[in-house]
Amino acid sequence: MDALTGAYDYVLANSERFWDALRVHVTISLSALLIALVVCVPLGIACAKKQWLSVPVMATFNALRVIPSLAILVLILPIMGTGFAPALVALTLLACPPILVNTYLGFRSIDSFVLESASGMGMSQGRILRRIEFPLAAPLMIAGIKTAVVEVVASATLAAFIGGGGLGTFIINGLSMYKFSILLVGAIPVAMLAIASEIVFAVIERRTTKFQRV
Amino acid sequence: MSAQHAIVFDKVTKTFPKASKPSVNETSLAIEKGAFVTILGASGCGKTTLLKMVNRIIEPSGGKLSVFGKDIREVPVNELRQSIGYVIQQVGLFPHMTIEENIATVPNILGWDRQKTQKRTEELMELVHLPTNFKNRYPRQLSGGQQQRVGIARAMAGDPEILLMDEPFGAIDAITRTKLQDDFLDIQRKLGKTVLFVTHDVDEALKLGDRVVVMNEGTIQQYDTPLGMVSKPANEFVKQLIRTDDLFLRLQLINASEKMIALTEPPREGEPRVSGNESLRNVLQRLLVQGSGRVLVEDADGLPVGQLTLDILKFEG
Repeated sequence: MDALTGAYDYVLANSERFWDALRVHVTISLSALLIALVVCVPLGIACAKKQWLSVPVMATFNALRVIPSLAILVLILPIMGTGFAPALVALTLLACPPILVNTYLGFRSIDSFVLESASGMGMSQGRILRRIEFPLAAPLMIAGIKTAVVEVVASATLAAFIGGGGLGTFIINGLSMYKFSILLVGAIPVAMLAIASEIVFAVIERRTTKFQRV
Repeated sequence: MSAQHAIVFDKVTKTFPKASKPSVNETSLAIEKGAFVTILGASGCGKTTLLKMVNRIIEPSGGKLSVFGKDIREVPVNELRQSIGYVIQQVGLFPHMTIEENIATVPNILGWDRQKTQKRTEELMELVHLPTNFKNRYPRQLSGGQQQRVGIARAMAGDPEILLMDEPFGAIDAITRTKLQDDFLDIQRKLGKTVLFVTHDVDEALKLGDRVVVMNEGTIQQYDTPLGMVSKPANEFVKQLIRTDDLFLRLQLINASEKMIALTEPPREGEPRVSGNESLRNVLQRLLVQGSGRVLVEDADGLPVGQLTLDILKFEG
């Protein structure tokens, strides 16, 4: 309890630093996610449509997946130095595999006869993508994005190790000063962010699978 | 090519990449407007390829294909497809859309307003005998037969002149299939669409088609009426395929009114009667079961207008 009230007092006393760290944390997480989406969704779709592309791309990203988050951060360090940018790169790499793999699987799972009847009725490629393929791939894609978000929000904590800022700063400080209350200033909001994003995406996922549950 | 032809194949060839011989080989065929043509053949004979070239799901590698006098390559491909109904064996309904949304696919592409689309959807559901309260259901809540009814309604939504059907009833159980066949025949008679219907089922081909195309190894063996095909098979292949030696099959294809003769004596009480559009097969059955010398044939008002005897059927055999 002492640690909790201590953490609360710390936030009140250093509110500017806290909000700043929270802002950086959210910004870096969202940016990483957006970049991963922009890169991996089209790449995943391309892989699903061109088999020759899928083997090398999937292999590369599956290999990336095996590397632990902290290891990625540390590996980036000698290349890009410290700060926001290298942390962003590391987090983006982290967000890519689940989005890419699930987009690929989502598009691959669409029945070929559904696509044949769609084009047989004169739907344009763009219309098929928007009205048929995206909605049908959505449940798997959303599941992938959910995994990526939770992973990125949690791992953004580690960005503090390479000077990227964010809520991880408090955790590192708390640890090094043996002050449990300061550690909680970082840990609790991170946990809440992760849980909140899990819930938000679970709701979206439920909505996209309505047709499967009737 | 004359305007009364809906579809004309002019030396159309399709050779798939890496295939040693063409799937469809220099095939010419003219299909009249309003005809119900079934394409019959074993798997791999090129019948599906022939069908799918009409809406360019498969691109011909040679020859010319025209629809209502227009070369299909001169029409934008999506426009061509919107004007041709397309039904496949696997149905291919959109699982994430309701029945109503599925049927409204083409109207939505064409940008019809809500009211018109809704009216059309209801009309079609009635036409294919689907209860209107199915409209908000999803495809997986329907049985296979019901799904294919939706498939047919969806194909007809834009009121196309031509329907292409690739073994539409192939995956449906026998009882449901018979019902679907009968219902679809009614629909076609009512609307007079030009139908190209691929099947590997001889009975289905002869029952539905007013013309039948028999294909083998990429070429058309015969294009004829069901009766013409059964009584005058063009070659040994056709003979084998449609069992032309089967007398019952031939009798099945002839209506009582076509072969009846004038009454030789006035009708008596208790004599077996059939209506004019019943098949000679049914007539034969009545003759054998009821042990009567003749069967009376009635007109639409139920008045006996002719008679059939075993001798007439013998002659037919």
